[in-house]
Amino acid sequence: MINYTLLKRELKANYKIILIFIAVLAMYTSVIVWMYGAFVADIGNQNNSLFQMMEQMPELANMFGFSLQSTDYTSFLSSYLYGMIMLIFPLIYIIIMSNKLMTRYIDKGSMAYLLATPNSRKKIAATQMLFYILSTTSILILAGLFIIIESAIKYPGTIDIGKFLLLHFGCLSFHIMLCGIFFAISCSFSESKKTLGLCSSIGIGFYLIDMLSNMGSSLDCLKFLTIFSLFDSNGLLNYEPLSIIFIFLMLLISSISFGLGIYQFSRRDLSI
Amino acid sequence: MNVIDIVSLTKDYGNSRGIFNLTYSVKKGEVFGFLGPNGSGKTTTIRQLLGFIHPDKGECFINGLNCSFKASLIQKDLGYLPGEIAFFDDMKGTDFIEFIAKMKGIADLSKADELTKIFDLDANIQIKKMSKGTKQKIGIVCAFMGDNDVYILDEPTSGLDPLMQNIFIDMILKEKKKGKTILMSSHIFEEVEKTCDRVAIIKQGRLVAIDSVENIKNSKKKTFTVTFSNEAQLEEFAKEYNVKSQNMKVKIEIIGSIDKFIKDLSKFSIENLEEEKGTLEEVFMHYYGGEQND
Repeated sequence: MINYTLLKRELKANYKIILIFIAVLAMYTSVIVWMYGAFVADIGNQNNSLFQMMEQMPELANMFGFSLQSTDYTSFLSSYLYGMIMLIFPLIYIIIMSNKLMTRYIDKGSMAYLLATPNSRKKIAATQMLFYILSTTSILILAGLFIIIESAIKYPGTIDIGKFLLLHFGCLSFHIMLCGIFFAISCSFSESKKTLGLCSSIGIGFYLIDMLSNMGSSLDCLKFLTIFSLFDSNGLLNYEPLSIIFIFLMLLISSISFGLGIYQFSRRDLSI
Repeated sequence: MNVIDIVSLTKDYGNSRGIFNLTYSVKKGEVFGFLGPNGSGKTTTIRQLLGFIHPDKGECFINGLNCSFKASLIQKDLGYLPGEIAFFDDMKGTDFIEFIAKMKGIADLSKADELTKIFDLDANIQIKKMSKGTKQKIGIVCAFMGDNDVYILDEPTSGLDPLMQNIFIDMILKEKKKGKTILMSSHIFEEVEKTCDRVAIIKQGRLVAIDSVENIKNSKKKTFTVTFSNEAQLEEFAKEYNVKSQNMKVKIEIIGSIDKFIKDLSKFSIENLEEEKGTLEEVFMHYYGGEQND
């Protein structure tokens, strides 16, 4: 049901970008992991610059999900990594790839060469979908591994593996959901600027709403207007059932979106 | 036996653009030319044959399979050359040819190598650095390397220099001897003349003529402007051919063979002989010998 030649080609064409994103995440995760030591050591110290920033600009800190609620290592990771870095960086990769995997071929007309073969449109789309999912998952799995290994080296035994894995899986599901939605968009449009424009607007727009909703109790209702709320990092750390249901919901949304994308691509007119 | 069947095919893009109620067929072993001015609907028709776009009305079939629904099945035995060059910029030509071969399930690259040699193609460079003609040759290799039974070519010699155009024409004639069926769209009359058995002419989305190339050649009109050096001879010639003269020049329209005309001219003292290249419109329309309404 998929074409391995195409899959290999996508890997060859995109492995450099994938490696860059893995490297960037590896770097940021080590910085944050290292920060914990400094944070905990200075916990009572008012001169702690991080502490000062929190005090002076609590809204800013809250927006990014930084909080001092607990000194537990896994919560620390959740606040400082999963409020921005683990959301935004994979998002950028997903937006870039949304165009590259489908719309770009249609926009440039090179899709004609993929379709002038005994491969059905469904097969081509399914192959691209698989690459999308596998590459995104690889980036996130490696990032997760980096965190676990770095934590094991620097603070052995401190990380709560069960909670962390659930948290990370929630983050992965969130990104797979984005892949699904953006893939459906990519299958539906013939112009790169439309696909990129729509995917960036959705990704960044929803993120902005999410940031605003974190700022204060009055803006809290905004959390219903953004899909970012489906990834409830705090809820997952507390094993709240609703946040686990959200994971299933995100995976469901992703499956439906991928299906819609493939169907849409199978039947539409392509001026190539 | 019809390999390609186009039945009442309609695709309306508004503003009289598109194709309307198009019907024709291509027989097995035939080289069929599909002629028309820019924007007349040639590529729209071909896209529907490839299953890239779906008709508003009507249907088209290749080897009895519906193009809209069985595209991937049809592709098992079809070679296609798109009208617009669009490859993967990040690859070398050789890599792209190998990639397409694998996608098409072609294991034997000997025909691809043969074609590369025939067209004097240096494929071992980055596609984005290639000239238009070189890219067109890559397209030709990809279309023909499968040694399929059916070929659909959209303006195949676009970008090729005259030498390569002749090499291409030779290749088509060779494929024809092997019994292949070829549908070729073009707006270059000469290329169609040399290779095709029959021709369909399309204008503004409608079929205006479908005939053998032989018939078209015989009824094609040529327009000449002859400049005489002797006024008396000019009058004599004008009378004989029943045309008006002006400024020592006469304008003559010849349908069919120009042999008699040339022999007649040789009796006179001629300063200049020019052939007026008619607009495509005129060439196509006047072949009928009558006027068409727009």
